[in-house]
Order: sequence, then C-alpha cells, then structure tokens
Amino acid sequence: MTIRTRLVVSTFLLQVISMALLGWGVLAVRGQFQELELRQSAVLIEKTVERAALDSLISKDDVALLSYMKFLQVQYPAITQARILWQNKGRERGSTVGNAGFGSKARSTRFTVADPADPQKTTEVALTLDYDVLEKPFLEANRRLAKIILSVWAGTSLLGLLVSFFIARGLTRPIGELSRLAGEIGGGKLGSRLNWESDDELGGLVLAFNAMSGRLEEFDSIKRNFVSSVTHELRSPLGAIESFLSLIRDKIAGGTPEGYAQSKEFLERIAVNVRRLSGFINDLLDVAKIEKGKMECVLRPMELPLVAHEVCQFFEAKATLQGVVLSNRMAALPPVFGDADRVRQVLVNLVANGLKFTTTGGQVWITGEQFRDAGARWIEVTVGDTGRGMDDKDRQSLFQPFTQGRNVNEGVAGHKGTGLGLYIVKSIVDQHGGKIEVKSAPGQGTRISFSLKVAA
Amino acid sequence: MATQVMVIDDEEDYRIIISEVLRSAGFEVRLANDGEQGLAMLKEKPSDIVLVDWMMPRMDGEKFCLAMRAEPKLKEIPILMLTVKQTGDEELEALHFGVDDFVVKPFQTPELLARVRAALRRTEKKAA
Repeated sequence: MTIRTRLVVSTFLLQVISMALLGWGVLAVRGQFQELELRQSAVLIEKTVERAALDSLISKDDVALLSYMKFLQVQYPAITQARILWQNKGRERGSTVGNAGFGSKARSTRFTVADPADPQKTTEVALTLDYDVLEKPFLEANRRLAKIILSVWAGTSLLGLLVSFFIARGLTRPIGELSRLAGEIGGGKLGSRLNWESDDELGGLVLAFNAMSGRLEEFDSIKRNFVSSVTHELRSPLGAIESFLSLIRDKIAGGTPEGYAQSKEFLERIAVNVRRLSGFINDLLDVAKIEKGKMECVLRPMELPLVAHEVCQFFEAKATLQGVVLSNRMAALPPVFGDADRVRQVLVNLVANGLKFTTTGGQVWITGEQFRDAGARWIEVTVGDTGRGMDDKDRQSLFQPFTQGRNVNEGVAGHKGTGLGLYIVKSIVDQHGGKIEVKSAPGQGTRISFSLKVAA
Repeated sequence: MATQVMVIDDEEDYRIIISEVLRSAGFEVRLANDGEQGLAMLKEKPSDIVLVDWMMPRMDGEKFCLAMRAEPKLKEIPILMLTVKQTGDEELEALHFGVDDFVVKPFQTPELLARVRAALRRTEKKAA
C-alpha cells in the first residue's frame, strides 16, 4: 500500500470512528434526559389530576371531575384508567373512567386529596398510566435525532475522505518527486533539482536534497578534472620520453657528431621528464597516505634557514631561466621541530607554485619570523611572489585536493600541475601542528605562510 | 620549395620533438609558444599547414582556430590539433570550430608524418 493510500485510509477511518463515537454519545445523553422527561410528564399528569380532584372536592362538583378526567384522557392517551373513590363521613361512592386494558408497561399510582374545610371529605384517585404511550413522542424524537446524526456522519465522512485525499496528495507529491529525482541522480544525471518551496519539514528536505545534488555535481566535476589532469600529467611526459627515445635511436643510426650532441641533449630532457613523472607519482602516493590518515612526520629539531637555502639552490636555474629573482631572505633563526624532508617538500611546492604564476621581471622569496602564541614560540615561514594572485573563490578551494583555481593554467606554459601540491602541503603543516594562511588578490601577488614550533 | 609547417605548443619538449621529426622528413618548421604568438607569425607570413596544441596559455587551441578561420588570408590553411583529450565529444566539437584532423599525444613518429601529409594532400586536391 502506498503512503498516500495509507494516509487516506487512516485519516478517513479516524474520522468515521470519531464521528460515530460522537453520535453514540449524543444519543446516550439524550436517553438519560428522556427518562427524566418521561418521569416529569407522568408527574405533570398526576399533579393535574390531583389538582382537578381537589377543585371538584371544594366546588362539590363530582361530575366536573369525571368529565375533566374524560377530557384529560383525550389530551393524554397515556391515561388508561382512573378509578375515583369519594368518601364522606364513612359513605363511599366510586366511579371509573377508561377501561383496564393494561399494556405491558402500565403503572398505577394512588393518591388521596381531602377538603381543607372538611377533612372527613376525601377523594381517592387510582391513576394508571401506560408508559408505552407516554414514551412514544420521545422515541419519535430520538429516531429523528438519530437520522440527523447519521446524515451528518455520512456527509462529514465523505468530506473527510476528500480532504484527507488532498492532504495526502499534498504530502506525498514532493516525496514522489524526490524519489524520481533520486532515481535520476542514481542514473548519473547529477545536479538535478526540485522546485518546491514550503516552510515545513518537506521544504527542508527538498532544500537539503537540492544541496546534496549540487555537491554531488561538484564532486563529479572535481573527479573529472582530476582524471583529466592525471591523464595529462602521465601521458605528456611519457609521450615525450617515448618520442625522445625514438629520436635518439635515429640520431645514433645517423652516426654524425651533431646527432651525438643532440642525443645528449635529448637524454637530459628524458631525465627531466622522468623526474616529473616520479614527482607526480610521489604526490599521488602522499595523497593516498593522507586519505588513509597515514601521513606521518617525525619531528626533530631542524634548521629552517638551511632547508630554505637548499630549496632556493634547487630552483635557482629555473628562476634565472624564467627571468624571476628568487631570494632566501631568512635570517638566523632558532631550530624548529620538524620533519626536514617534509618541510623541504612544503617549501619546494610553495616555491614551485610561486614560480609557476610569476612572469619575467617578478620576484619570489622566502622569509621567516618569530612570534609568540599561547605561551609558545613559533616561526612563521612565508613564501611570497609578485605573480598574478587569485580571487577569494580560488583562495577558498586552494587546499582542497584535485582542485585548481578556475582558469588556473591560463597564462601558464608547460607543466600544468594536478592540484595535489597544496593539499599535501596543508596536510604536512597540520601534522606539524602549525597553521597555514594565504594572502592574495588578483594582480597583487600571493603570500602563503605556515607556522612551525620552535624547539626549546 | 620545402613545405612550411607552423608548430604551436607551450611545452618545449613537444616543440623540440615535433620540429625534429618534421625537419628530418624534409619540412621547414617554424615554432611558437602560444596561440597569440603563432597567429602573429602566420599573419606576417602564412604557412602551408598548422599544428597546434589544445591546452595552451593566453590563447588556447580553440580560440586560435576560431581566430585563424576568421582571417581571410589564413582560413584555408589546414589545422592539425595536438591533444591528450580522449573523448569523442570534444573532438567532434573541435571539428566544428575548424580543425581538420587530430594527433593524440603521445604519438608515434610515422603517424604524425602520415597525418600531416594526408592533410596537405586534401588541401592540394581542393586547390586543384
């Protein structure tokens, strides 16, 4: 059974039952009142007869009582019989009105009235009332009431069925839509959205669902970017190596001195590409370690300026070739706690990025400064450049894996990068208990700083 | 007169490889680092065929093709696009913006030469 059917049936049943109970209650209360009213009308008749008996006694008109009784019998068919007994100083005289065809529910009452002027003169009346007849108008009224209750019950039930149907439809429609949408997303159509606005729980669900769908689409595009950059990063150097090898083969076959010289140059290029490939594979392995939570740094006291110097030397040739001034502006600093290899990796990544986005005539530099935070001494290392900088949106996704800024490679020649470097950098700095920060604006250059704890 | 080829690629390795392959096959080769530079050189003196990389800084392969096809002097020159992209959709799209053929990196030397020659042959037929 669908949720909609279940909702309709249950609300409908609830209404039918509650209406039935209400009707039954009304009838039950009505029954109690009826009993009271029945007794009251019996009492009323008795009082009337008593009154008439007294009147006739006072006015000494016995015939009046008899004719009045006959009149009353017409007025109240419930009076089946009235036996009247007059007594005056031992003398008795009786008369009977109506016959004693008693019904099953006939009840008799007997009462005596005395003349207030002469207590010896009394009239005794034995009145028999048929309750069946007395009850009749009440039963009729009850039947009418029951009829009204029944028709109201049927009417509201029908109305309730309609209303519950519409309510159920309103509730289940977005659920149905969502499940259809979830099917679409499952089928690979990521980023599907549902247009549904309401400020209830369903509206919240739809909002959350849409947000989830958007995130999935984002992840998918990240994955696609990653696959495409990995493909490029692997194929491009491999292809170059392959081509250089075949060129070298041709040159050697040619056997000329120029061919020999060129082959040496090609071998150099092969070496560069092999380094690039192994660097990329190391990055991938590091990312795998990070994702498994197995990136571990062994912290020992180390000399930062020494590492910075090595990194600058490593990049000097590249910077010179690019026409960029690369400088180590790190003064003498106390030793810090760090994994020298990992800190070197951080600096290599940051300087490589700086050089990548800085054009001829620009500068890339490394500085280090001491500061105190929460009672501990720290050193803040900054790698700055005069490159093209980035906007806030790119800055926010900077340390996420597999993402590069939009059009990040616009204006970058050669090696494109995979978007793994800064993710690894951040993980290493986290492992050192430090913080990493980026200051940048488009056209204003970039400054990335990270902190390391001083080894005291 | 030797057939002149314009090679536009931002990766130095590929510039060296392609020019080396083409030169040893008897072509005359001119090199450019990106689309802008390549377009300027072509406007100065057209080549017989252009080899252009897809992913490049400043002016990428797509923009370069559109710019070239908009230039009356250059619009008949065959274009071979160098790409690492693999999906057919993108290649189809590239055919729409005026690419004549593709060379997928990494390529084998004979394949590169064969595609260059085939593209040249098609233009000659058209001219005749």
